[in-house]
Amino acid sequence: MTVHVSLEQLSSYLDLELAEPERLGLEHHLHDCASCRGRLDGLRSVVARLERLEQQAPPSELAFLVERRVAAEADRLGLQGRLERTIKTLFIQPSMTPIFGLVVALALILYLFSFGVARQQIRGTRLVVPVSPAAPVARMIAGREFIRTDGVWVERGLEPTAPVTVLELGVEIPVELLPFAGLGERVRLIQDGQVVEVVFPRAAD
Amino acid sequence: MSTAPVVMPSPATEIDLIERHRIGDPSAFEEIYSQHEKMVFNLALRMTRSPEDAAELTQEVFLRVYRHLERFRGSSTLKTWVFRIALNCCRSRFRRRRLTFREPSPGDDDALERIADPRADPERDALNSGLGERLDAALRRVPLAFREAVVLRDVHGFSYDEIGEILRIRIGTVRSRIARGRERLRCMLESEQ
Ligand SMILES: [Zn+2]
Repeated sequence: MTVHVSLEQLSSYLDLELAEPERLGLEHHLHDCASCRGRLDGLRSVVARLERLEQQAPPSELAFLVERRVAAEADRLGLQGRLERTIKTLFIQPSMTPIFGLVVALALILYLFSFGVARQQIRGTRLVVPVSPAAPVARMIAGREFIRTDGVWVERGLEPTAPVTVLELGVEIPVELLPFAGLGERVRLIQDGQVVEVVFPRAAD
Repeated sequence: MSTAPVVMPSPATEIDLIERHRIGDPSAFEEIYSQHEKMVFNLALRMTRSPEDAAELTQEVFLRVYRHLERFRGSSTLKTWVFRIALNCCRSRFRRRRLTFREPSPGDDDALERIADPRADPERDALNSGLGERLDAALRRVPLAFREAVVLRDVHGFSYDEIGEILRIRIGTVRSRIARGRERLRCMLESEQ
């Protein structure tokens, strides 16, 4: 009775994954066995067809959907990080009793959640981010929606013609505006009840 | 977010990318996204039934990538790491849909050989007449554990070692799953002719 080559050996042979003695033994058997040669050819053609399988282009809106979810996540993580840092700072003060610290922290949490996002001072930072060639037309940031109009990101609901105060970027940028950082563009939003416009420099600036 | 042509980066570039992400540069994630978007989407497409499912899965994958990117230590390539996350997402999706997928133990591979994928739909597949579509339809009928290995190897070109790392299985198991997946396809495609 003939002992044929195993399926695993044939498959690994196609991937050049057989050690030299095993490979030579297999080639010797193939020379004399039409049945194993036929099976090997079948496997080879399966591999060739799989390799030629066309890679489909993802739907065009996918990048935007991912970006929106990631921006929301960045927002959540940023706010969480700020709270953690603040609470840590409070508790390492030796003069502060734990109960007092807790009360202050709770008050701070309430404060940040109710006003945090809207009351951030825009201070700005140096930005080294390339401009994205396919910028989307709308973004959700910190639960606020921005639409791109004539090269400016305008918060939804703002009159495009409303008078604005243009702010210079200072030292530090609020985390909720970070997703705008790479745009090299202007963002118009409500800040402390005022319509302001922030100019984010381009990467080369 | 850009979808520039894909150029696979060297390990040094990858570590640099992670570092840029750590210090808050949002373009680092955008680069990682554009390098892997198409591959992840196509992997998801071969593991699910529809482009809609694949698009949703791709979103989940990149959200997880974003969450855990800081923990990437460079012990594997970024591509391997992203694919591991992607396959885990595919599996938890199957679990959520009660499609009885679990990580098979070595003895299970024989049992898998005998069962068909419960999600496969031969009637619908018969309508797909194109060569690539027929292959895709056949792929869907290959048990998931074998399909994962074959797709990683023959569609995405991973080495046996990398596949072992992505699926957390031994090389012997990698070899066996690839062989059985290919054999299932061979039988299906030859019986069609
Ligand atoms: Zn033989």
